[in-house]
Amino acid sequence: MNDESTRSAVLVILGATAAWLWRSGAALNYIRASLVPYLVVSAAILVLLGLLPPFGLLRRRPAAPHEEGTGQGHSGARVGSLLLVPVLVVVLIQPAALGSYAVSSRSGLPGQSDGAFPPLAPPVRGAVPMTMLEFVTRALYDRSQSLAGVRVRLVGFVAPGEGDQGYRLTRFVISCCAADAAALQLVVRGDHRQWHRDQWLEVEGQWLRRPMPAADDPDPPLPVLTAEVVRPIPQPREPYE
Amino acid sequence: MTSTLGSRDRTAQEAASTGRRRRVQGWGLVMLLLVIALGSRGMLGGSLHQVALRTWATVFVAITVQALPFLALGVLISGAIAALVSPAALARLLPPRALLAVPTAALAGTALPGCECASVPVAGRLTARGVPPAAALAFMLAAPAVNPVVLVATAVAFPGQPRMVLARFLGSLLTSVLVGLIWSRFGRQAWMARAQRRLAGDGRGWPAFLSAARHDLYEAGGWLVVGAAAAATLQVAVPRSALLATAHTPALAVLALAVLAVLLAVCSEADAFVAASLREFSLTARLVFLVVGPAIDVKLVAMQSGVFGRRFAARFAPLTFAVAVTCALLVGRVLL
Repeated sequence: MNDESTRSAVLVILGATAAWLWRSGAALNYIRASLVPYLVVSAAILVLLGLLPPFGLLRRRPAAPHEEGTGQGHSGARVGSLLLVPVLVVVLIQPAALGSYAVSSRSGLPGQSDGAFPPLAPPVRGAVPMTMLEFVTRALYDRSQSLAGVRVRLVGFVAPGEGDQGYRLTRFVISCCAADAAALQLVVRGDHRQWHRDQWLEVEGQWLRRPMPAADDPDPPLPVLTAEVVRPIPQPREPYE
Repeated sequence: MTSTLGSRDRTAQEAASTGRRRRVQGWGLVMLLLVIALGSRGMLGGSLHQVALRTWATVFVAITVQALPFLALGVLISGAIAALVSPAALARLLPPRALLAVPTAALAGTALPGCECASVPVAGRLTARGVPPAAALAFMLAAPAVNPVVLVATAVAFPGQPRMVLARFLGSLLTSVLVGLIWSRFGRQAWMARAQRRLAGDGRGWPAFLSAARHDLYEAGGWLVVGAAAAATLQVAVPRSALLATAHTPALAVLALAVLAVLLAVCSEADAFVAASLREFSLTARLVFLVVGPAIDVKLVAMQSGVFGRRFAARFAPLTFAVAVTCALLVGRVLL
């Protein structure tokens, strides 16, 4: 390729962007924390693949006819510069983590559970800290109703509710990246303050006990939390569960 | 042919006379972009009030970032294949007859613990090193679906339902073997011209490794960006609720989840969790989702058309889709 060095530059810039996503913590707006180490490794690979050849480790070959002679070969080379598009999107737009605006198209339910739940974690400062996933799963599928009468502490952001039922505490659950995000929600009762949508809250309260919905109910009613303490907090480092 | 030769001469001359200048221009352009970009950091973010556009940007970056490690793994392997493995050694590894070579290659897929972005450049490189296309394609289809990481993820997503793991394994294996065999019978070399023309057999050792890895990263990466943009657009544009409303009509439900798998372009290590959350659908419909997704989705069509050529992708994508849906239904019928 006669533009080996453009290629080097693109790879180094992409690698640097990946490294920046890791250093700044912004990577967690897009992927699961457990994938971040792999992102760091790939950033190093990108930078090395970009830097090694200019330092003489890639001898400039005589023009390889089967690659350079045809239009296709060139389009194959040009498409690589598209790797700068995600870099530009990251730098210019700095897309935020998915928020309340994306809830309606991505509402989800927890996956199957075999009905057996481990005992609750011990309370910390007077309430059991819990992920939204655990709370919603127990509220919907736990036959022994282990949540009943337990004071829990949950973290999520505000999404508007329907009518005057209060707002919905929401958290996106991802298994790999934001492309597979599903929103888990619960209705908060007993807090009449007007929060802005997307405000992050730490809520302590109790589950409003209800009979378990049928296991195959495709659209069970949202669990309800009766709030006792509601505190605004900054967005957590990991916005997704 | 003459025009090809003509342009080749011209390119060689240009390369010789303007190589240095171009190099400087290339760096200059990139630096300029970088300065502009850094100067205006986050400038556009505030004006992005459009809900769809915000979701699009997040999903687009997420798919790209999530795929980078797998892409890097894939091009390291493809670089190694180009530099260290001779075509003769590869030929010795595979049985000579398609009927045996295709299933062998599909089973070899259990050894590549990546997702589909890794297997496309590897398959392209295998083809360039003289592996029969049918075998390389069977490997490409099988690797992202039957490797241990994906199977464990499936077992975690479907607790207490080991049959789902087995069904997924068999459905995907069957799909890749069938597509491979059909391709060995009806496929034409001409459709894959692009993969075979690339860098075939030049040099060994470090320089060849670096050159091949860079080439594949640049090319497959560029097409990955195209695919991620397409997938993000479809995620925003196609209302998921319309697809999910089909859950109670069995035939429609199967088709809807097959289409959803193509549109969502979720990584094969995550799709089991998505499938598990689609509770309103039958297990068979969800199996279709799991078998179709790693074999064919919008991101893969873009990458395959980049690595193998457009004529290839236009034939391979519908074939794979049809075979995957059929195999999943068959396996689901027996096992689920």
